[in-house]
Amino acid sequence: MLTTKRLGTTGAALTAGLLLLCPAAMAQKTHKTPAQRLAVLEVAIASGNPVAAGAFLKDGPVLTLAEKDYAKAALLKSKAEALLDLRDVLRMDWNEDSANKLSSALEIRIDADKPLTKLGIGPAPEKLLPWMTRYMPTAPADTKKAVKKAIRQWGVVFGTITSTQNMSWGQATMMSGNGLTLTKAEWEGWTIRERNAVLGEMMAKDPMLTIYSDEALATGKGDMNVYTAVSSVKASGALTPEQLAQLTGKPLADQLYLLGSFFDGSNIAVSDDLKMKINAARSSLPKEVLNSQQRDLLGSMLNTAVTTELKGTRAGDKVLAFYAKNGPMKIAVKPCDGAYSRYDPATRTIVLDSETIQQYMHMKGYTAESVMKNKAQLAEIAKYMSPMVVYESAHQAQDVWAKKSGVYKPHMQEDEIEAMSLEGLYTSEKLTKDAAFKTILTSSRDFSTYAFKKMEVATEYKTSGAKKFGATVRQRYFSGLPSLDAAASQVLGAVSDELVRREGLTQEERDDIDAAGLSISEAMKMSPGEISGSVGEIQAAALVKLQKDLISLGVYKKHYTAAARENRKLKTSSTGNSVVPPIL
Amino acid sequence: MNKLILTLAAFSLMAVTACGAGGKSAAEAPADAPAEKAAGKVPAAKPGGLVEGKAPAGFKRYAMDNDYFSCDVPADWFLKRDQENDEEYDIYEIELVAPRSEKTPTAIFVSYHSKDSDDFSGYQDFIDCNSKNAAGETKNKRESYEPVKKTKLAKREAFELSRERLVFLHPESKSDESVQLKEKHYVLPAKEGFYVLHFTAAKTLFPQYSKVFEKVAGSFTGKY
Repeated sequence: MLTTKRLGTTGAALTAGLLLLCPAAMAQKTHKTPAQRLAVLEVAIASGNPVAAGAFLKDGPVLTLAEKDYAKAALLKSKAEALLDLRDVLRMDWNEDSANKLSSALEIRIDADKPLTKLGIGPAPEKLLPWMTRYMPTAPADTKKAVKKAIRQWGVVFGTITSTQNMSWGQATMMSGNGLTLTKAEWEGWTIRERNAVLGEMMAKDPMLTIYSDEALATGKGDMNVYTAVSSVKASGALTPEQLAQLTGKPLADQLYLLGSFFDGSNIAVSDDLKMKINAARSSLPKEVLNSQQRDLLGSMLNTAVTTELKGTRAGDKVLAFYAKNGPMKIAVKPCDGAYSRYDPATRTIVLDSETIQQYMHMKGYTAESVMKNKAQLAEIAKYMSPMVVYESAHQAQDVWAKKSGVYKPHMQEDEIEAMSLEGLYTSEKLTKDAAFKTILTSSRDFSTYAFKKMEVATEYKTSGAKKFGATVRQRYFSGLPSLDAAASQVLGAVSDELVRREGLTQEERDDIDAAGLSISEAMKMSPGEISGSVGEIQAAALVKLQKDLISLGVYKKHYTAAARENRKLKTSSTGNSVVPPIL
Repeated sequence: MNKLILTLAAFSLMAVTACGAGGKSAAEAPADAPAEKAAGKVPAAKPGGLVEGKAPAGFKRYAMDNDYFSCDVPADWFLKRDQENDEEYDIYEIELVAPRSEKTPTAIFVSYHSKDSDDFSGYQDFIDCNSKNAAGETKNKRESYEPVKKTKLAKREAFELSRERLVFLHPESKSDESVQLKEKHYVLPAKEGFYVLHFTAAKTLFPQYSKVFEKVAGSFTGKY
């Protein structure tokens, strides 16, 4: 998925960033010695400043000095990393629909004994809100709304009720026959994890609350596979009475987590299939979570491993040829919210989703430590994620082309056709030629929709041919994305109207808009919707540039047609040895 | 002057967009449309479109460019044609979209793959690619490919392929929205190239519209 930044807030974000940078910047500029800088940064980090946290982790002499007191340095580092990690998570695109995912992400970060709590961000999650106001003042409204839902703020969950909520809670009900009384004051003293656990219990009585659990929603939609798997394990007789008691009354997500921990390092006699199903569906155990340092390391290790993986396939060689000419391939591992990957044009980095990698680790029983040490495990992850690298490399190539050509290029269906075609070509070729790759995908697909989807794209490309695959991408996969023609039409129409409107303004009015308006470089990063929505705030020179780019689409069409022809040639040359199946 | 140029530019682009995106209901499509060819391409000697001729009630007769094929098309279905792409790929195709679809279109495709097309090396390659998934399987928990059957269609040798697949609508994101597709193909070898008639629908809608597909298929006539 090609990321498009929300530029409506760019100016404000920049200003805020500069203001918040002050302690770190001052530490760099005014405090000449590492000791002086460390002192300033320590204070700033203690106040929760993520910019100072970043400056600290990048300042080699300061780190060296800090590490003289190893324990203190480790603590400071963990706080700094936690702050950066929190900022990274909250910088992703969130909205109310993805609030449950955000809740899961925050639940493991804001809890008792977590570094953030030592910085005053927790354990009560409401403490996150003033922190955001202070350090992320320009966060989009959608994110702020999602955060309130994610932390399960009383008012969001229960509305205007301020006194109590009666609820029946698991064993308490069973033992005493009485429900528990829930008060707003108690609720506000709980962590997100505790609130989610209580909500999990309440969902059984109040289906309206299932909106606070993606698992419950999935179950409600008929996805009973995981539930059935849990029931099968519970009924297998393989668990001890103590283990069964621990599961009783817990929400499905907690049961999955507990079962995963029971399976870990034990010989519980249930089938591997059941174990894999449960391990794929549960959240990460602590040892499976890749921390930010491990994610960085894994990203750089994957650069080499993925290169090896791509070599020898037609689509992969095309990708490698692109990087040979246009700079090195850069892979990072980070949470990607609702996507398996994204391309970050600012850093020219392909970001692979850490959650997807961790899910694979659950299925295979790998830990963060083992993946770092074991080359075979790393190679497996490289194989597993390589289709996403191919897909994102196409988006990177599109970005490079647009920048070299100096043309406005929003995210369009044509981009997805090109990227998905290359991915489909690569995966279908690997499935044919690389037995280990095929085994990894086929053995994972029943537990991971990611694996199945990668096979599906390959099948769709192989069965459709390039022409019909393009139509499928437009109609089935990306119908909500504008085509080149639609995007050009939308932008050109809005821009042309605005230029006409400006002709009617006074010179002074035009100058005012140009002085405060969005520049060419900012406008070039905006989506067609953003441009047409804020066309009145864009500098005239930028409008003229957009108009000039889009008035004739030849340069775009030539590019996409050439890319499609090249992929087709690769496909043709890779299907020469097909075998006709028996015909009845 | 500037205003006029800007307005014309925007208008002309919107017009191009409308043509590229679209189609018409089979009943509305003029017999001689579309006639324009992409720049640099040799116009078809005989452009495709609806033609006069016998067709059962509720259907119209359609003939492809150069009479590559003709068939009856349901009058109340949406007829789509991307002529520019047809010429680019040397695959001449109409798409008929049913009035009712679910998460994916209920559609019939009738196509002529010319000998110059490089999407498939021939009808055998097409059958090979469409009779199993990318891993070479014909059956798993979410997909089922029936064995290829030899049959007759419009007095010609043909091959029948049927499959059911669960397809995800967002393969590049974590949304697991999906649809169970049911599909049927007739593949007809030809002296030059080959023909494909393809019906795709959500499994729930397949029975309702498969009779329409069979009528279209039964009325098919190929030039080669």
